[in-house]
Formats: sequence, structure tokens, C-alpha cells
Amino acid sequence: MRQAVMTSPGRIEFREVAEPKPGPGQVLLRVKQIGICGSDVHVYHGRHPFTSYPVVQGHEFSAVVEAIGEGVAGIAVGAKATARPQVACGECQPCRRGDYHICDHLKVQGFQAPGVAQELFAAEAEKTVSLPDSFSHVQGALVEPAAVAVHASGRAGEMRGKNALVSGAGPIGNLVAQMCAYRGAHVLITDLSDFRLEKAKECGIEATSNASQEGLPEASQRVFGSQGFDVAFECAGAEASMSAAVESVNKGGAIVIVAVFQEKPPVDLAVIGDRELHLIGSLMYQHCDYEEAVNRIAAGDIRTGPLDSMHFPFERYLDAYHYIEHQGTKCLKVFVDL
Amino acid sequence: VRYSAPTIGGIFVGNLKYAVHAYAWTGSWSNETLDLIDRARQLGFDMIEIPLMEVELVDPGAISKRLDEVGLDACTSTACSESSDITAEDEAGRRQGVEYLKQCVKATADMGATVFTGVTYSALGRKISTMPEESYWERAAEGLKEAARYAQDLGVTVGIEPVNRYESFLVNTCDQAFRLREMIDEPNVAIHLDAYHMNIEETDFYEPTKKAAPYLCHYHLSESHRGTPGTGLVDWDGIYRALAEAGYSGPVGLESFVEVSPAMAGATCIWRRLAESSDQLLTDGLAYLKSVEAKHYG
Repeated sequence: MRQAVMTSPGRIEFREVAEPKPGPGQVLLRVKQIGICGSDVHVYHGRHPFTSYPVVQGHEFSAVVEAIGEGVAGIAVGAKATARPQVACGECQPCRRGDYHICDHLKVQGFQAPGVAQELFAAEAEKTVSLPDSFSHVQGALVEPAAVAVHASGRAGEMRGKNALVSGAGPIGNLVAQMCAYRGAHVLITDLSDFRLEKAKECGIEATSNASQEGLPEASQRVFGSQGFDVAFECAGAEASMSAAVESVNKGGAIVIVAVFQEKPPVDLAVIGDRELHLIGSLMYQHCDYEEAVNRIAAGDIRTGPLDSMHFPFERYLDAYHYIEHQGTKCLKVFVDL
Repeated sequence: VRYSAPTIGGIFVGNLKYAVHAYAWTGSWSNETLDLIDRARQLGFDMIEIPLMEVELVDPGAISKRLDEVGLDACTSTACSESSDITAEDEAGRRQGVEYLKQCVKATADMGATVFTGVTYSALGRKISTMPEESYWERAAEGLKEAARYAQDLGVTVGIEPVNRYESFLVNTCDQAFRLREMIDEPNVAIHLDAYHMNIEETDFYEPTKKAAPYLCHYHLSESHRGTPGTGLVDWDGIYRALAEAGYSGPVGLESFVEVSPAMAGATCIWRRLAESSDQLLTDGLAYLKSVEAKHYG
């Protein structure tokens, strides 16, 4: 079978390798579509701090079940499926208390463990999620980022009736905004890209603000009036948006850090102390978040169509990165088709 | 590596490569028409599209030699006929169609080209009495799969060109071409768009072009009336914007139906003179299209 290997930053080799066999408790998946995310782009640029080369990328994907291994039940051959890319140790303190997504020795397939950029992939059945027949492979490949949003949007407690700011309208910000809206929040989403804000609108997020043209206090006033906002989801990974959120969030409010910050942004801790703000981290997801992401996409609570920017054939895997580089913020999700 | 992308073209690797279809000057390719390779070069084209409808008359060695001498690239194309129809209901007819496609692939490789495209999936102009049953799609996919696998060993990409409803009952739109490609499920099967047909069948030009761009092996830049590009209804800005955004740097081609043979006139419904001459159409069309390219490719 064909396998795409990133041998060094910006270089992908296609290799012919033996097909995997599903071991006990495993499911053999025929990979159909792979989504490229921001972390993959960091690997492409050689700027991912926890990834070495060569690496088989791919962790957001949709597949069809090709075969099942011994002892696997509840997953049918021929069904559409996806799988969580987390490899946890099961023994560390976070794992023992059920927080395996922040395992001390967490490995993520596509980064510290081989990913799915190949025709067939043997996944653990316990990490595999069957998808409804009605799912497109684009929807299947969007389950992973949607699960990030399910998890993050639940980090600040009850959202019903709250006013929420989402900074950053890339794929994760877009999905977080949609999940917050589903959870009953009033959402304002900000970005520097009109293209991305327009896509958020197409996903049902009506209140948008281009931060290059409107300050956050003005945008908040326009959308939320004197109520302001109670929660901010930092999905831009930028010092400016982080600072703006700290300055503008209501007293006693929360800021959930969803983005991966490249630099270490100065944060005004005096304001955080003085206003009793909550700084909350969010990393990936748990299995229940994957299942909830499938439910929300299936029910139409998460709209996926506007996120689908471009597709490249497997042989043009590298061109997908060229496209992302070239388009900048004028695209959302780029997929590789197998 | 079982297959790598065509050596001609790519994404963000340079400018478009303009081909001219030899039908601009001849209805039948043979060694009598080798001079057209020189003529294509003189008119400023990078490639010539060699028709393989009468593949038995085509001498790939002679073409390859002349291409090298002149410094031109080539791609090949066909429009299958009743005698080469892989959707034929009878097995013998279907088999004949598959063998014909393989013959075309071999000729393409032998002349040093890497793209064989066109109406490869059924007979041009074939009409059936109802909407096509799934079996037609399955036969087309099965036949093209065999041809594509054969082509992999020779480094050739096989294209699917959707054409309008009056010329094919099977693949009329870009989405349908993708559907057939998925059914074939071989990596060296690519999409070939044609603006003339798109003007009849698509809802716009930008979206299908954008979707197809990473999968393209060729693009016929034909005007809505098959006359000089830039004088009809095609949204050239939409097409070039989509190609430029995707960084498409592969073959695009001009056709001229000014001097077509009586047989082709019948098949393509050309009943009037569309320009003063083929050379005039090609010269004016190429200049116009390059001006649109300059605007979008920067």
C-alpha cells in the first residue's frame, strides 16, 4: 500500500509498504480523506516542538472499515468510521483519574506516533467511532477538530444564556463558536480575515467583528450591549487577541485557551487577579467528545460545508501545504483524498 | 512508488502550458501532418494535442523525434466512437473499447507524453433512450480502471472530459467526472474540463474549476460558441482566478473548429465559420487568454 512520509520539513516521500493486519481489539480502516490542521502545518515548516522526522502525518480522517480483529464487536465492516489519534500510557496520575487526554506520556498519531497518511490503518477498536451512513468523508474527517470544540466549549461550565467571545475564526474557532451556540450561548466571533468571518456567518454565527477594523470593547458593546461577555475562547494564538480578551471580559469571567501559542505572550496578571478571572486550559478531547462531535454533525448543529475549502489527491499531499501557504487565511480546511 | 503525478504540470511550479489541438488544422493525424508540430511552435504554443481517434495511423516515434527537434511537448486525446465504447452492452464491444484505450495509452507513452485524455469513457454522441442505469457507469469505471492500471506502468495519466448532454449521455459535469474517478479508484485518473461544455452544463465556472484544479490534467479553453476565446459568454476571469488560487501550472488548451472535417462538423454541430481562419482564432485567442492569465497569476 502507499504511504506518505514526511522525511524532513517540506519534503514528502511516497513509499510502498506492507498492508497492516488488524490485531486483537483492532479495526483495519481504509483511509478515504485526511484533513490538514495547523499543527500539521507546523510540522511541514519544521516548527513543531514535539515532532521528529521521518513522520507519517494524518490524524483528522475519515475511513471505511475494511476488517475487524479478534474480539471486536459493534463495528461493522463497510461502515464509515474515524478514530481518536491519542496513545496514552494508562498508568500516570492523569490517566489513572480518567484524564488520559492529558497523559504525562501522551503520544499523538501523526506527530509522536505514526499517523494515517496511508491507504490502510490499524486502529484500536476502543478509539474507533462508527459514523452514520449519511456522513460525507469531509464530515468524518472534521470529527477530530469538532471534538476539540466539543471539549473546549465545555471547559467553562454551563453556557446557556451566557455571552461568549471566540477569538479566531479558523477551523477550530469556527467550530468552537458553533458548539457554544449549540450550548445556548450568544456568540461573537472575531478575526482579521473577512473571508473567515464570512464562513462563520455561513455556519450560523451572525455576530462577527474584524479586529483590524473594530476594537473589542466596541464590538462587545455593539453585540452584547452593557452586558459584556462572560467567557472568552482564545482560538487565535495571538498576543493581541489574548490581551484584548483579558482586558474586556466581565469581572469573574473565564478565558479558555484553545489555541497553541508559538510565542509566550505577556499576560496582565494584575488584571486577572484584580477581576478574579479564570484562566482555563483545553487540550484535545476525550472519547465522549468524539461521540458528541459525531452527534452534533449528524444533527446539523455543527455545519461542515462552509469549512470545506479544497481537496488534493494523495499524490499531491505536498501541494496541499503549498496551497495552504499560498491562500493564508483565505481558506479553512484542506483535505487530502485517497 | 506505483505512480507519481504527471511530469507535465503541477501546483505552484510555474506558468500554464498552452496546447493547441491539432484538429485546428486536420481531421486526421498521420505522418503527413507532422509539420503541425512546427506550426504550433510558431504560433507560440508550448504543447500540441495529438488526436488518437485513428490511432493506427499515428506514428509515435516520428512524433517524438519531431517534438524533440522543435522543442515542444505533447498530450494526446480522443473521443471514443461506437467501435471503441467501453460502455457497450456486449462484452466483445466493451473489450474492443478497452483494448483501444490501452493502444492510445501506449502511443502516448511512446511519443514521450504523459497525458491521454478526452471522451475516454463512452462513445461521443451516443444517445440512449432513458437515463443511464448504474451498469453504464460500472462498465465505464471497469474499462477505465483496466486502462489506468496499464497506464501506471507507462507513467501516463488518463483524463476524463465531461462533455455536454448532446455529446454524451454519461459524464456531463465536473461532479460526474469526480464520481467516475472515484469509481475507477486509480491515482492516475485525472479530470479534464472544457469551458464550452461547462457553459451548457455547470452553474458557474469558478467553483468547478476550483474543485477540479488539483485533479486536472487538461483544460480546454473553448468559448461558449467555439469561436475565439474572449468573444463569448465564458467567465474567463472566474476560470483563471480559480486556477491561479490553486496554483495550477499544467496544460490548458485551445481548440479551433474553423477548419474541421465534415465528420467532425457533424459530431460537434459546427454549421458556420467561427473565425476568419484557425490561425486567426488561435492567435487572437492565445493573446487574450494570456492577458487574463497575467491578471490572475501575477
